[in-house]
Amino acid sequence: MRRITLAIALVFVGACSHELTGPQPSLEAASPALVCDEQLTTAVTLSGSGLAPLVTNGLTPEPELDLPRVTLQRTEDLDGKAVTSTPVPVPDDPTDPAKSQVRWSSASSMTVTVSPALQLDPGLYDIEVTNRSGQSTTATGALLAVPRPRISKIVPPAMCTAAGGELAIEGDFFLTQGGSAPEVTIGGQTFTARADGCRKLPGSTGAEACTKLFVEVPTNILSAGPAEVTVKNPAPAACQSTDQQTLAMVPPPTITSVQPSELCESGGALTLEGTNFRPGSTVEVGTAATQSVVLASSSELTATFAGGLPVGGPYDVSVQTPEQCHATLAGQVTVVAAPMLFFVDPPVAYNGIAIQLTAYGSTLSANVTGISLVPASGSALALTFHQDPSHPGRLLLDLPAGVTPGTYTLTLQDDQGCTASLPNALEVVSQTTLSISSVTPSFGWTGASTGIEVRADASVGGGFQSLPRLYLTPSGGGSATARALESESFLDPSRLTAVVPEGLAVGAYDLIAVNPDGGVAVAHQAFTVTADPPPAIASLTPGSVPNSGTEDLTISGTNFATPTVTLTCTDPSGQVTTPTVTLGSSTTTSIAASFDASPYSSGAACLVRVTDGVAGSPYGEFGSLVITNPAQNLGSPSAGQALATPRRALGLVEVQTSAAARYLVAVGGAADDGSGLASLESTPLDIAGVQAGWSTQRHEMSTARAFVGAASIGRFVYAIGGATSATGPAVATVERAAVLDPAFHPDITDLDITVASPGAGLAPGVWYYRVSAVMPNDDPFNPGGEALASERFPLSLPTLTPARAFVPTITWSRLPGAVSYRIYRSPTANAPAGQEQLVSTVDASEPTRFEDTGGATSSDAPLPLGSLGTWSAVPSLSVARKGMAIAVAADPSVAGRFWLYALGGQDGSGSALASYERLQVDVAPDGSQTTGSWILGLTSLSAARWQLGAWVGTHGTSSRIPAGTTYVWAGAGLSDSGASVRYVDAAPQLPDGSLGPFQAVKQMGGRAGYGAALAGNFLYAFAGGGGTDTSVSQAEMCAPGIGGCQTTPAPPDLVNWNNATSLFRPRTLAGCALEGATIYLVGGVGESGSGSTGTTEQLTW
Amino acid sequence: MVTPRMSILLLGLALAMPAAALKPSLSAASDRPFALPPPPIPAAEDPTPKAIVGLAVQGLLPEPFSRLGAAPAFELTGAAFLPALDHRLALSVDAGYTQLSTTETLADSRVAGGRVTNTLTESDLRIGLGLQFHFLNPTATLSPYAGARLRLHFLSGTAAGRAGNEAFGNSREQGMSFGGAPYAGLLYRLGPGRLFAELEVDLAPIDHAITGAANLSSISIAAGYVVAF
Repeated sequence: MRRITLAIALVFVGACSHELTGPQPSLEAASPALVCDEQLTTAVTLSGSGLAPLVTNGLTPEPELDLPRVTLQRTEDLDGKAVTSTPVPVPDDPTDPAKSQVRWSSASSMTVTVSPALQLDPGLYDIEVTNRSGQSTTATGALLAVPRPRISKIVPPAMCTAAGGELAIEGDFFLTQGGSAPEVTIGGQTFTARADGCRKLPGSTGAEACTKLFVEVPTNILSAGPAEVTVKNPAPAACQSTDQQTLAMVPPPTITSVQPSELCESGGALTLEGTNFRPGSTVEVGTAATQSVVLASSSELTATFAGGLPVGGPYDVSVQTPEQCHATLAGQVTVVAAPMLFFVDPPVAYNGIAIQLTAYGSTLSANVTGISLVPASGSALALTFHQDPSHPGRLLLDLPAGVTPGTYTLTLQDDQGCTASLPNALEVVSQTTLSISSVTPSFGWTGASTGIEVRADASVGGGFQSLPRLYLTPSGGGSATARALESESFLDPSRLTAVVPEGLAVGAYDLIAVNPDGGVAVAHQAFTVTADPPPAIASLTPGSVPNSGTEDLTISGTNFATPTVTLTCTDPSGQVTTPTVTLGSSTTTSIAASFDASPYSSGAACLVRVTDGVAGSPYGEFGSLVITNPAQNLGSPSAGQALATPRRALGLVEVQTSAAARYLVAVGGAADDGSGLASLESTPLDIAGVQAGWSTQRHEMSTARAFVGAASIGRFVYAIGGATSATGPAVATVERAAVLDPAFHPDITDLDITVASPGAGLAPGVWYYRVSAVMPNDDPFNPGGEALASERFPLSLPTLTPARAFVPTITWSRLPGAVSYRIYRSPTANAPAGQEQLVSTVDASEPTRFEDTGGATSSDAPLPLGSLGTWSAVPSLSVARKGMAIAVAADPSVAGRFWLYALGGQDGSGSALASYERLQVDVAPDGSQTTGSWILGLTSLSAARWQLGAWVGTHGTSSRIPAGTTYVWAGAGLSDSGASVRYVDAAPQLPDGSLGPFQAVKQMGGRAGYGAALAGNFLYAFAGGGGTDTSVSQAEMCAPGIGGCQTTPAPPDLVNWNNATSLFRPRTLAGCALEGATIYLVGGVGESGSGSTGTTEQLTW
Repeated sequence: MVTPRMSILLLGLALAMPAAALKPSLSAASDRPFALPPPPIPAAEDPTPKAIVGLAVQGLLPEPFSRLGAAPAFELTGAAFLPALDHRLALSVDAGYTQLSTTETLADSRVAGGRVTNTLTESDLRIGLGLQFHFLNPTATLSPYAGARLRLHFLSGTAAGRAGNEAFGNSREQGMSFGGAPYAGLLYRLGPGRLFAELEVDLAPIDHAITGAANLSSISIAAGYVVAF
């Protein structure tokens, strides 16, 4: 009853107003909350509560079920920007349930179908559910509608079927959600993609829209041809792209042939045939890539390679297309080393003459097809060339006369298509900037090397520079190569010496001198190579003649076939005349001549020329014949070059390395403080006997030797006795050293070169190489010592692009007996010639080649010309002697035998000696010398003395001495107590080489430590008469008709001693030597009468 | 239109009227048996009553008009006799309550199972006001009358639908509706009051959402007892 009443009451109360009530809906979620209505129909389940359908029109014939009405309203776009929009109701017609897009499952679940028909704009939607009773609920941002993925681009657009790779797909609305990524279909194959460039989409779905997808396409999974690319987003918004994007799958190429099979390392072109070649392909040979590829068709392409290819092979040839397809044909191409040109000799050519150039290179093909000189502008000049099979690294090029001056690049081509180029290889000049004034001698025999002196006018172009290159080229050009002279020695800008090598073809040659700076001198027909040796004058007897009348002259030498003799005499006033010369008898080695010397003043000098035949024929010259007054007074002294080390009580000898290369050698002595010197110095002498300058010899004696006795026999210098200091006791040891033979050296025979990376070899520039040999300990000339180095070999390395370094390998000839070789090289690129330093040593057991990787050099330099070798001991004196006199005389009967005499001196106890001893020295044809033991003489000097001088006279030196006779004079000196001993003792040389009894001849003034020289028929004593003595005393040999002779009017008797001249400074204990027409005095006691001096002076006789 | 079925129903209703007066309401709104007081012993001729008040039980038969099922109604009725027409015209007032319901099933693919079962129940609190004319003096032992009333229906309909095992949730729609109901009845004097039986055609249009533009009209047979005053 109560319920009824209550119900009634409620009805009464509620019914006062029309009201439809029902459950209050609420929405918790929409699932899926992400839809792509552009393509898909998605059933979105709405979860909540109170989703209450209502049957309406329940009492009508057609009741209807009203499901809760669902409306979608877009509130944000995909960028999260708020938008206003018209709500979109989800279609639901109760009268046509089949078409409804709404389904009801329960009060907590409904499903709405989001389909393309809704035409939802992409964005975030609120979902409103309204029950029929009018209650509604709204889920904010519950549904996100996204568009289909869009593809704008795929990269790459093509891919190799056999290579696969990563494909990048660009576009937008590639969705990711909860770890799911879009699915990419390519050519029907499905791949998982990796997304990038993602941005969060509005709403709570966690979905992101990305702009890039990356797909790893495996190899050989897709067929060749166009492959459509589509992207399908992950569910529930699994729309698919509809853009027409196609990935072109291309098949890999194949290579069927490669031509040619050889390629030059400097580059070239290959033609490949095959299939599926594509534009943009690259070709590799080994690891070297192409410079360019030209596609003729899909089955043929041409690949061009730049330089720098690795030599070797055969290399595989590979083709790679832009789609990363590649094909390889194995072992197809061999890369051959490109020829390289690195130097042209001479580098400067004078176009007034035709010359032959020598181009040095490496890896030159045996079949060079063309060589040209290319100027900076203008046409190339093709050169005739010859390849030297014995020197594959050299090409002989004929450069005609008349080539336009300028700088030229040398280019080369060979039959393998390789090219080489050497920029600035040759400079052609038309102007001679230097002037050669003389070449002496101007003739040489083809069968022997000839030493020459070349003089230039230093005022023209500055003269020679150290070190110029000298070449001989046949006058008028021809096939003979411009031959470089050897053993060049730069004396000064106006003088240098060199050696013309043997083997030149007979004929006249132009001499070309090329300074390092390109200055050129040409002396036409300056040198003639003869089939027969030209006359060579070895000596004149006498070396001077008095101007008292017609004087006889004996000219000694060789190769006097049909001689004529001319004299060119220069008076002290400078007047030059050519007196008439009357020839007497002559042989091939001796000519008797005479001329009237009376018109000439004392001091005139004559150049003697012996011509073999008529004028213009080969000749030899000798300078000079000195004309003196009957008294044969010496000329005035002139100062010479100073010693490097002041020294007194030294020995002084002269040696010759060639007819034109003569040296003075100062041996030992005492230094300024009296300490003994083991060192030696030497100076070259020119043909006029002028000193060039003293330099210290590298090899010292084994011991210091003051008051040493010194002599030269052949190539050997002997140092006899002496003391370790000026006041020390005498020693008996004797040692010798040989002047190094300038022709005894290895020759650099070839040069090869490879390129390397910068820093791994030599830099571009000019480099010089020299090689010397080290001799064994039993070498007869230079035991354990280093010989002279080879001729300087210049090497000009070009600058390459890209930058490279060079590794030269030099090869040299073996020197018989050598135990090792020392290789010298410029310390740096473009260092001046003559600064070569030691870079390596090669044992003689190894191949005679050195590969220079650019190592650092040491300070060791090659031995200069005129160097002595190592010192070796010879038998010691029988008696220790210091301050003795030394004499050398040829054996009277045995050719090649000489006797070395040590006369007087002070023994080890300080006692003066009257004895002498002799040493037999046999000179072998090769110049080696063997000695006996010292033999104490049976005769003695008339009085014991030391600091004495000695003179040796023969008929060859003094006309008054009979032929076949040799006299030795021992002059004044000091006794034990230091008293002057004025005796002059003379002894003949006996047949056994001993000296006959000494007989006293004219005493000389009190002198000690004087220089002694015999010239002509006079004995000269220089200074030695006290600390400040500068006097020169001379004694004439007796002869019939010469007054004042005490005993017999013949040598060894002397007329008297009188003053000849004066030196320009005091010279006690100086070294004294005679060379040609010049007497040299070197060193001695100092100016103050003590110590040592380094000054020198010389006089002509 | 009264169908045979309806006739049987009317007959049964007439026979069952006394029982029905005691039978509890079909509505679930009451769970206690409803007992009518015994009819009053007709008195000797009563004076013309001024008014009559009583209770009636109705049996509603909406079927001729709608799908609603028969349902009882309970009514408190009364009339006030007007002087006019010799006190045979009365102003009637009644208030009653009934619940009509119907359950139907309809097919709808939008729901699980594709079928919806909906029970529509209309609770009708009706208040009528009308005129009734007694053909005889209401004091007669047997007095026929007829009348018509305007009826105001206070309606509260509920729709309880379900699809399968899922209930929709109940919706309720409340509102008012005016109707009219001609009727005829017969009074039988019994005891202090009168037994009456009445046949009414209740015309009650309704236009609710849950009902649609329909009506809650019904033919009702009522019986009751009124007490005269």
